[in-house]
Amino acid sequence: MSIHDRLTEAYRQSASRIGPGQAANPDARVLAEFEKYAAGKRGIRPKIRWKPQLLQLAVVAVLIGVLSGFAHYVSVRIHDERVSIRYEEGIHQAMDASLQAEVQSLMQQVRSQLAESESAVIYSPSIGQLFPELVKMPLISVSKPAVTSDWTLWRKMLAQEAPFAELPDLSGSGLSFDGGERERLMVLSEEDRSLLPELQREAKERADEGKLPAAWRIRPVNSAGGESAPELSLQYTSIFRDAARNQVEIGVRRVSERADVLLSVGRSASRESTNLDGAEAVYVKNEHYIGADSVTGQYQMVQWLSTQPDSTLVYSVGSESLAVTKDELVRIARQMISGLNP
Amino acid sequence: MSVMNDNELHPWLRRMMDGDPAAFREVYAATQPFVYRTVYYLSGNKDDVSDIVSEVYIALIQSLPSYRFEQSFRSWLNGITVRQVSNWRRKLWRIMRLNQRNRLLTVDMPASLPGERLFEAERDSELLQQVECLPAKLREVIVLRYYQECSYEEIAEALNVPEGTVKSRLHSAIAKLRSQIKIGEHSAIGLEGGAEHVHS
Repeated sequence: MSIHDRLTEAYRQSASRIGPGQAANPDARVLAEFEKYAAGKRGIRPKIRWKPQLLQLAVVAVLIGVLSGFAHYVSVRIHDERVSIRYEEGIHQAMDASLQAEVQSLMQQVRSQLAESESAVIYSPSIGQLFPELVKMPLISVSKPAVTSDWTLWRKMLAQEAPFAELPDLSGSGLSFDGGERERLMVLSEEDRSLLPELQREAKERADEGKLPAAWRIRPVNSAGGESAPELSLQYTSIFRDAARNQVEIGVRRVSERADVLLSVGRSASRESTNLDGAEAVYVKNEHYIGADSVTGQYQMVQWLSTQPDSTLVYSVGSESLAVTKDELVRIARQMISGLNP
Repeated sequence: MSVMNDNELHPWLRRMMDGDPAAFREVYAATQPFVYRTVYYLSGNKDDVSDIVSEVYIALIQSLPSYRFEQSFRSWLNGITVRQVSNWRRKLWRIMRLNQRNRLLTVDMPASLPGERLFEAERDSELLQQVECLPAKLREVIVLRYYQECSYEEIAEALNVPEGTVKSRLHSAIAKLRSQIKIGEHSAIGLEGGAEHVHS
């Protein structure tokens, strides 16, 4: 059978199994759009649809209890009309210690070879073993942020480049500035995905030579100086030290497009919704953090959204330090919120 | 595969264009399964299919005044579908990143609900999985050609490119698939001698 016949047959068989799911009926947005269209045809002004209040720091958070069939599977989410962030325990997430160490080491190796502001795509079959959700596309990306340790320069840079990320007055919080990081969010693009066969081949060759079966590529940079990846967003992280010299990070990023993000946390992670003076937020403590620069292997943070007319700001106050408590993070987050909404 | 019959749809489309909600539901019911599957095959993430389908119909409604009855409705709708999948891909900030400062792993596919996992378990042949690894432009021609069984002309109209481009992309796509699944090693299948055996 030719490849053409095989494709046709594969689609026929597949199509018979694929149902319309939730899209079997038009959803509310589609019906509303048609209603608007029909009203226009009839010369009737469509009903005014009230937009949600766009408070300077309007945050909506939803606790999703969930989920039938998986008693241990709990999800917490914060979202607005533009951004949804879910914090979930991967059902099959296998936090095998040796795999975790291998992947983390690989990330560190790659990251150490990157210049500031560069990012790379890494392939390793171990990624798929560690996170079975990724077994078909075991790719991750790492990046190296641009760093500054000068508070004046950092504030000036934020004022010029990202006024939305300027911090309120945090005097009295006991925090002292330690550095600022500007980092591209790492998005897996179509181009990244298309690298998979090539990276797999290279990894196999390395394995045949007795080396670690992994391969990676630095993302190309386009003529404008940006990476050729879709919808890159920047995160601005201000790093502080508390009175006990523990590191505390305050991150802000702006998302202008629709974003649906899943943060998969380890089984032992705790996650809960919390209320910060009216702003719904999420507290997450991940005890199996495998970030490239992790020292303690854990990370905890309070995260919340601020809905703006043209974007959503994602705030986080976090720390890798074992000595920093949830209460301390919450206190700083409250100070942030009150400072942003005097 | 008979997908959509313009003659049957046109009366409903005319009523729909006049703002008849019942006609809209008829058009939706007649086209939605094809749109859903097309989006399913084109999109990288199956959890987004329903959302993208909604985007397709919103775009269809917004574009209704520009539809001309002398053109193929299927090609017109396919064009909208391909564009919306492409837009979604660009817009959607998602997936699979280990963000240095996010400190938590973001994985490619959101953990599925039980029903969705069954859905996933029924996923297709290895061949279709290989199609998913193709760049978007090549995947589009494969899906329109082999799922919808569109002619070159229809694909060209949907993608708004010359027929020659369609043939070229299709040839590249098949070549990449051959390479990926190594079927070229078997003379009995594939593109014998490099000749293109594409159904007319």
